[in-house]
Amino acid sequence: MKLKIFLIILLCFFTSGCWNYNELNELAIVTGIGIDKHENGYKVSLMISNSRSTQSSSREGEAQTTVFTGTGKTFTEALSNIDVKTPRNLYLGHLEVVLVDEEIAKDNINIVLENLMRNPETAKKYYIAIARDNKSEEILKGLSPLESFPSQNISLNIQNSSQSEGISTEMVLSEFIKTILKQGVNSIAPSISIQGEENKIDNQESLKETEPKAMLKARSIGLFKDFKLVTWTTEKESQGINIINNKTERLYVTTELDKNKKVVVLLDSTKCKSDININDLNINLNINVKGAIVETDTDLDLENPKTIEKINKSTEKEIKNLVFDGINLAQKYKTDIFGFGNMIYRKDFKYWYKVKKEWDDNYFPKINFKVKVNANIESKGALENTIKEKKNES
Amino acid sequence: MKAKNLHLFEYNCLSYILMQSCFIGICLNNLLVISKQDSWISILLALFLGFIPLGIYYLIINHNPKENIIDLIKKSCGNIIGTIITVMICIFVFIFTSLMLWNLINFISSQYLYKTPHLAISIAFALALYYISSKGINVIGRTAVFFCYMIFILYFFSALGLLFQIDINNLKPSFEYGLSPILNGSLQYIAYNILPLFLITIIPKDTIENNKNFLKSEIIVYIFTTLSLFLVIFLLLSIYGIEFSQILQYPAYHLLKRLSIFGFIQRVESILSIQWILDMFITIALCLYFIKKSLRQTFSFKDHKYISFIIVVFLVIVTNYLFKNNTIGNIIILNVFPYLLYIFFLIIPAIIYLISLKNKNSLK
Amino acid sequence: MKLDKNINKIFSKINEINGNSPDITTREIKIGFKKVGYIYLESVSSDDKISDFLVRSITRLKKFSFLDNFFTNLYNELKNSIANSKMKTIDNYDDMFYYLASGFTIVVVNGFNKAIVLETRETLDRGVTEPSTEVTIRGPKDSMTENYNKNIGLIRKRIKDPNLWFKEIEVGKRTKTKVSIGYIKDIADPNKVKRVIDKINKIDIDGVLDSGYIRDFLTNDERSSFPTIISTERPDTVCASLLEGKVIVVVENTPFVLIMPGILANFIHAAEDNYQKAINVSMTRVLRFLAMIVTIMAPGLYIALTTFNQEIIPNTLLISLAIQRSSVPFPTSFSVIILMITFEILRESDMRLPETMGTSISIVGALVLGDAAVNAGIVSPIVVIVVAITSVTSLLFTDMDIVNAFRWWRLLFIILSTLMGLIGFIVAGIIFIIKLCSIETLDVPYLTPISPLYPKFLMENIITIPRNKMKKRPTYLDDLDINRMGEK
Repeated sequence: MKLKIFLIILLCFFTSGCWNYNELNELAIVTGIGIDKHENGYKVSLMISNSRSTQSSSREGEAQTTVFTGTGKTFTEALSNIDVKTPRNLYLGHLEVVLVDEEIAKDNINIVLENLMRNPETAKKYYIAIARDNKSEEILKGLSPLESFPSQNISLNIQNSSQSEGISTEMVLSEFIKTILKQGVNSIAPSISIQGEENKIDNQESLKETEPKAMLKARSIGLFKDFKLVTWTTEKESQGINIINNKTERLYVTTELDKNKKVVVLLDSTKCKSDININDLNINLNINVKGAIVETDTDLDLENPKTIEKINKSTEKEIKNLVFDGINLAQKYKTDIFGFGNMIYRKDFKYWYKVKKEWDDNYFPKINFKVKVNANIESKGALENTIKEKKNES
Repeated sequence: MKAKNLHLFEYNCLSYILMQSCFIGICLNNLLVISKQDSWISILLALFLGFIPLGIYYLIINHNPKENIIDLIKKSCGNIIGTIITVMICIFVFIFTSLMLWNLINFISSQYLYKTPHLAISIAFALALYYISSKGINVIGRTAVFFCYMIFILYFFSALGLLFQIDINNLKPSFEYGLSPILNGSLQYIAYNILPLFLITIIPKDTIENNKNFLKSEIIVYIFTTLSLFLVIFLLLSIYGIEFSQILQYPAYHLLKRLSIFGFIQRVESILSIQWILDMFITIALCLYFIKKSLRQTFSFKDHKYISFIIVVFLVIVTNYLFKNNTIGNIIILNVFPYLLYIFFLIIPAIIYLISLKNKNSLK
Repeated sequence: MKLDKNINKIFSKINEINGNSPDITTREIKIGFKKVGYIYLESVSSDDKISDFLVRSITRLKKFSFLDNFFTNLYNELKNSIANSKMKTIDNYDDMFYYLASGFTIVVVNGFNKAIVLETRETLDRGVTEPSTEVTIRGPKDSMTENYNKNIGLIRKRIKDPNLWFKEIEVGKRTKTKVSIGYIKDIADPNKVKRVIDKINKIDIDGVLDSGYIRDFLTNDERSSFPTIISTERPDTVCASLLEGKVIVVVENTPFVLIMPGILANFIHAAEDNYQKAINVSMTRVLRFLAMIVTIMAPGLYIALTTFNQEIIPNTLLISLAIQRSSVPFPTSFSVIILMITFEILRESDMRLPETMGTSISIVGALVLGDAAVNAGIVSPIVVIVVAITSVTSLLFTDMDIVNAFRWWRLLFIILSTLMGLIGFIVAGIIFIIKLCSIETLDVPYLTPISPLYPKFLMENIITIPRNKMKKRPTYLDDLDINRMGEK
């Protein structure tokens, strides 16, 4: 009996190429994909982080990255075009970032989603972003002095800006598809572009200067309607949208109390609750914010509760403006990115079946929003009062 | 000799594994198609409805502690009809086994080894299956206990890492399609997850040591299994929502990709999904034992090593030609198979039990 | 064959049977008209003892040579008056040579066809020293020797219970080795004892030189690589097992005692665990379990992760592994197997070297081989690390059989991981667990108390509990007397 087992195992050694077996040095580890529009179809660029075969030491800083490009009529054809050019197997398991060109996003983003989601190898959560004002190929080639893996550059950039500024948003591919598939919601996506001179971004020498000539920058978000990109937002509008979606972690708001008295406030907790009244199509938004005073160049007396009240009120006004900016933009372009349609579906699905087809175009732009903000500026940092006020006192 | 007996804990672990093995590729997808976002209500309803088949099996086991189901069939229906019924049940169990093996190979080849032909994967598992089916029920019991420990630990980690990402709003429009899909879903769940418990009636009650708490422990295992599967569906629906879960082929595997404990344990879905591979393996091993034992009892074979070998080879061949492709397989699993399960695993044993009761009464 | 009555015939017969061996010594003494003679083998008997009492006793009898009945009763007189502690009588040649070879002196009387056998054995062993294989820091430090009686003595002086029974059987046609089966009567399960005795009675072999010879007869799992019988040379381990209800087998001429039944937990414990604080020992035991898992599964897991399922490895580690791998010509599994063979050769050679040369050569071997191999580009550094971890963790176990058993299973894991990656690893794991679950010794399954679950003894075997909480003996051994504490 043991002979039979041995023979079967031996057969496996001889009859196969061992199918899924890949040695590490046969893999081309793809960490970033960029898709552009091209004359005959699509141009795909892959960022491959790997080593040259003659390297013998294994420090992280010496990893080489190269960008390969290929063209084809479909996405898969373009990928196999690249496959012909590389001496190794493409390995998509460590994919970190997918950049889509603006033109493709405006046309139909589904071509990118289908292949990537269906592939069983690409499993990690990877970000999707839209390349704005530049081709994604150029952005992928961008090097940075702080990060040794360029794909980290992009993904960490997006993460940081969405967390600390609120002008961008992290969008993972499965979240993106999930939001598209849900009823009554449309999705949003972040964007990246190059600031500075475009053709200097992949220059190794520019890294050696103290101030690099070109850098990557995370810009504001783009709104989608079904599979098409409809518009970009400004920074204020994207802050408003993030507040309504409860996706801000930290937000800097500059308020102006009276003429030339500006106070900068850091909000570290914003909570937005929405309440729908189905019959008259009114939506009430209740926003609670808490924060701290960060900077003020005035002589306001911060030890007086009335000043704090004034600061609260002006912060509330500022936030209300931000929120209304976001809502007005969404209503103007007739996409419901906040999910109010989904909320109606969850509350009363019979009514939703009636309005489903025309929600985005007819019903959503007509909704009246009532926004009520409650701001509570709790702390003042390390100083009790402003410096100028103290100087005035003494 | 004492070593031939099973412990009650081993018996319970076998029931636990039998009741959750059909879940991952078969029952979960069916439930999501039938009762959509109310699947969790279906499972809760099935928790109560499932006491009926459980009661029938308990009555069959208790009827005569020294006999198993094959003896019962022979006694109540006579020799010829009994043999025919036994052979029919064996053929159906064989098809059920082949379905489970197909599910296992499909799962592995779509998530792990997508370039490997299915035959190679089935040969690898066939080696292990042949090995375990040449030992007796004791070894299957003890292996099941060991695997149960691993399944508990992996399940605990999976649930722990995912509990904080729940969003109850995703479950929201409840009863959107009325009550009948919910009831339909419950019946599907019972068909795939509770009726396989029939396979455990091959073990006579007498071979279990210290079986005083038999009924109580079986009920506890039943409730525990149903609640843990309920938690899986609850997590899946509340984190992913119904539309995205329906489009994926193995939504629970994809759900594990979102797991992140302490921020650095990530991408461990390959390891956490070992729990499903293990329980499918033990179910197939127990089915093979069922077939082997019932054939031995009806036809009195002697050489049992060659029987195992033949059955395993046959199983591998049938599995590779069972369904032409994935889509036809899914349709058959959704529509045709549950009816067959009800007929063979519920109605026929109930009829046999009633006949044997009548015989017992008429003898008195 | 029965003895002759003539002394000279007896002497010549003994010489003839043994081919005139140079160590047969004979002497005749005349007491009155009767001749009395004795035979002994110089190599195994102690000359001083013989000269001391035997000749003295015989010549003392010369005084009575004038008695009338003396000649007929000479034999009985000798029997009753010889000053020796042990005395037997024999009447055939087979027994005579057996006793001669054991170091006894045979006294024969002319005209009588029975002989007297007296104990005059020379001690041909080391004396009680420290154990060479299982060294402890805290605890008794004596070990068994090659002297059969001393071994039983070391056990007897620890367990002073009259219920400690020994049953002696002679095994081996030519060596006629004494094998003793020991057990405590009112603790051990009588079924187990009976089975062991039956098995030993059935042994039909020509020579038994060590307890390892009869080991294969005692199990029914000869082809499996996991040992089911514990062999130890420490008397305190033997006595602890006796107190738990196990059965021991003591074999003459070897210090290693066999203990049955042995479950996996026994092979992972060390002797020292019983003598230190329970909480500290618990951590050591957890480390040992982890070591067992690492030593079997580490190479297979490494191969599976780097060649099939690379997504589990984090990003930066993957790239540095790829850089290391790029200069190596062989596939991963090949380099793992080459390195493992090298380490095993190093370990075997370490055991054969005499102590004076031992340590430096093994260090040189390991360093040079590992480092030079990396620099020459034959293996990559991470493989050296993996194989080194595997070898070092396998040295944590004291029993040689378990360490060798792990080697086979490590190979199975490597082969199946190479073929199918993580799935192959899982299949190998399943086969390994099935194998462990199917071994049974004397009706006790191998993975007790984990697999047939005994919750009360789970804590004792996986981690230790303090000694004042161990109230009962292990029930899976079917002991007759369960309580360790309290009234009997």
